[in-house]
Amino acid sequence: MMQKNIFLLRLLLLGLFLPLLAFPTGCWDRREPSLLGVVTVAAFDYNPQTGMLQVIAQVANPLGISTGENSGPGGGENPFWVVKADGHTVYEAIKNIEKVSTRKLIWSHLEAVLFSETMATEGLRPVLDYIDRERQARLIARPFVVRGDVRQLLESKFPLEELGGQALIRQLLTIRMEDAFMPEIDSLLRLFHHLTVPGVELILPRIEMQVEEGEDNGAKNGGNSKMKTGRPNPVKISGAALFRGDRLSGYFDEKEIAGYLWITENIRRQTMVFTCPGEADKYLTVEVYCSSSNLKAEVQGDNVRMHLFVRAEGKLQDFAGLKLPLDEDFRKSLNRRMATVIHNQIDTALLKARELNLDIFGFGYELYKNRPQDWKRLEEKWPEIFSKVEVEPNVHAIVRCYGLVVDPIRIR
Amino acid sequence: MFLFTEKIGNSQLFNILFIMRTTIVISFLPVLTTTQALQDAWLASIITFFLSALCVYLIGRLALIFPDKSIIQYSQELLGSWPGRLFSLFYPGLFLFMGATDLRIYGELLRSVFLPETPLIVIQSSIVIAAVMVVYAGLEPLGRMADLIFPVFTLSILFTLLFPVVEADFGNLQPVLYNGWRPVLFATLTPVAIIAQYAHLTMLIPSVVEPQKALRSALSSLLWASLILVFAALIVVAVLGADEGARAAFPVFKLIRAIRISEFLERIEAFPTFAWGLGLFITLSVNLYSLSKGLSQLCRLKNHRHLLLPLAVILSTLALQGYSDFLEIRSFFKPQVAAPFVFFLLLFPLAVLWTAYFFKKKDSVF
Repeated sequence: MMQKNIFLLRLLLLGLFLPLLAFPTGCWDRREPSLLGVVTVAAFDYNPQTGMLQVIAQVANPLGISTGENSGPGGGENPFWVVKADGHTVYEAIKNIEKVSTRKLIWSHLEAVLFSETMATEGLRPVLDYIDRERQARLIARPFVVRGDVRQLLESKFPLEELGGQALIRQLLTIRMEDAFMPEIDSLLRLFHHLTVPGVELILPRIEMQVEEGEDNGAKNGGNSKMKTGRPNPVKISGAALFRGDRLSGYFDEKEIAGYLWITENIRRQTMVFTCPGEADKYLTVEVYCSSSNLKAEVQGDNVRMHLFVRAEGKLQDFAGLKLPLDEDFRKSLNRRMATVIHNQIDTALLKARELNLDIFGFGYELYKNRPQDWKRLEEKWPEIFSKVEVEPNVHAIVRCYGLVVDPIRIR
Repeated sequence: MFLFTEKIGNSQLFNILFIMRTTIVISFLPVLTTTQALQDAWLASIITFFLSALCVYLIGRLALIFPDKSIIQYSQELLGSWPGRLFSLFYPGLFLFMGATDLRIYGELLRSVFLPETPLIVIQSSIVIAAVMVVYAGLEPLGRMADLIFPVFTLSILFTLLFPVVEADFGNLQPVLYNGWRPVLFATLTPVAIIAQYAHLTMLIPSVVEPQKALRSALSSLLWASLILVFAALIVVAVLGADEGARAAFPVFKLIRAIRISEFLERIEAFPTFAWGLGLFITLSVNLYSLSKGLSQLCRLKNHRHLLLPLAVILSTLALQGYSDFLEIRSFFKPQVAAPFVFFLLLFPLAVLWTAYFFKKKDSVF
């Protein structure tokens, strides 16, 4: 009896699993890669006249992406296709894109998300909810605010990269590692975090278009023309867009963003140029390569004072003067000048933030985290209090390395 | 008659219970998602352990008084034939309900993330068939499956939780107890209610090789699963932030999708999906085993295997029809709904049985 049961069971299993063999040969939903268009950058714009959202997608074009030595960028098909559609909602706009696309667009390889100035001013909420809810989207994409024509940006070709998304990300990484031009928010996840925690406003990296006069970039130029070797990068990532809630309220320039990065302990490297001692027309460069900052809040009634301790270590990168003084006075003065630069950057950032009354530094968040009882009391009137918060920067800067030679070259 | 001839080792019992408990952790992280405990979810997880341990002790201790009998049998012994049968009906009901709910949650995950167009019945039946097969083969193969799955499952969970550490900002865990103890204690209710999974002890203890050590295995499995729960709550909040974590339908899943380990290593959600699938397989199998074994003892059938297929069909149907969508599951797991419902099913019969036991003990029957 048992034997028969086992035989029947095995027969049943065979019947169940044999048909499964037919399936592994293709994609589960019959959407082969050749039928899909991979979106690498998505830009969101808003048309105030029609009240519609615009979605502009940069779709990678597998025919245009070079595979061998003979086909470089611009050597055949365009490596990407830019397409735009309107809709009342983000999803409607995306569906409208698919009406004019030969392929179904997939969004799971999205590398960068761009918001136009108008979209940012109107508020990011509709786009953010779509991204948060959609199964294909991931919070690892990098958000930017674009100043200028966002469509033109997507159509631009980058000198060393084939795809705009890749280019933006590499540019962003380079800047993050090498200098202090943009805020640290490098993923949608961080964007969400800044929007949802109390006592901090959102700040996003800003992209500016830089097209040379008389020169038209990208697709209009025709995919077949070779790129000029001297052509500049079409975009510059620098500065930041500041938000009140999810709405754009102002910008930080490069100096202000450096101040922001000092306060929030996000400086990696920064370049500073000073005049050489005794030679006002000669310059020296110091690069900050190691730094730390620490923010401590002191609360008395409704008065909030933030103690900011900054420590920066720099190295001398070049020196155009005739003789490098090795005495203590020179070293001290260099350290002092470094500290003054940092101090000024911090003050500039604070001034602008106070003008706009935007707590982008997260002073409120600092209170919420470390002095929750005070925050409970101050939360309601925080916008008024923030503009009066006293910040006392205590900067300790020191140049530690002087390079591989001591004296500059002695030219006869 | 109704002897428990199949035996599983204590370590297998540990594996089974650990996998079952941890599967729920990675599914929807109830400490974080059911209430407003936010960044204090880890604290709620620690309290959950102690409250859960108490429940497990109550379930396990009573089962150990009758180490060679299941709850179906000893409730008849304690309460008499018919009242005993009536009370012992609670537990098979609980097993059926838990199995169906677990199955539906998994179905919902696959539907919302990977397979939006595949009918739920296809997703569910594939795993139910596997579960039926292993229970048909018997409890011993089920135990061996748990042995086999345990290392893969644990490693997948560890990868899932350790990879995101690179992006963790533990500052997100501050401030502690911003809204006081109330939301934290409230957040423990649902995870403690889910301890109903340990009701399987009442069916498994008679099959354990050393029943006297079964409670110890159960409690240590709870301890390890709770450690993972605490760790998961910490990591999810540290990486996603309390708000994003609490809003997520599947927080651990959202966590693993939101990180980029490096330029070339990302999109590693296979780990939690894999672990969850394997975990659900064990959970479902144990539910089906306890359910069919319990009902067969209740109906005095010799072989519980005859009940398997009909029960699997009932369970799948309940999973499909019990909830209309994921929002309904989410509302069910709100503490004010899940806790009274599950505690009634779990603790009411237990309280009656304990009372009956003490009365009988007083009359020195035992």
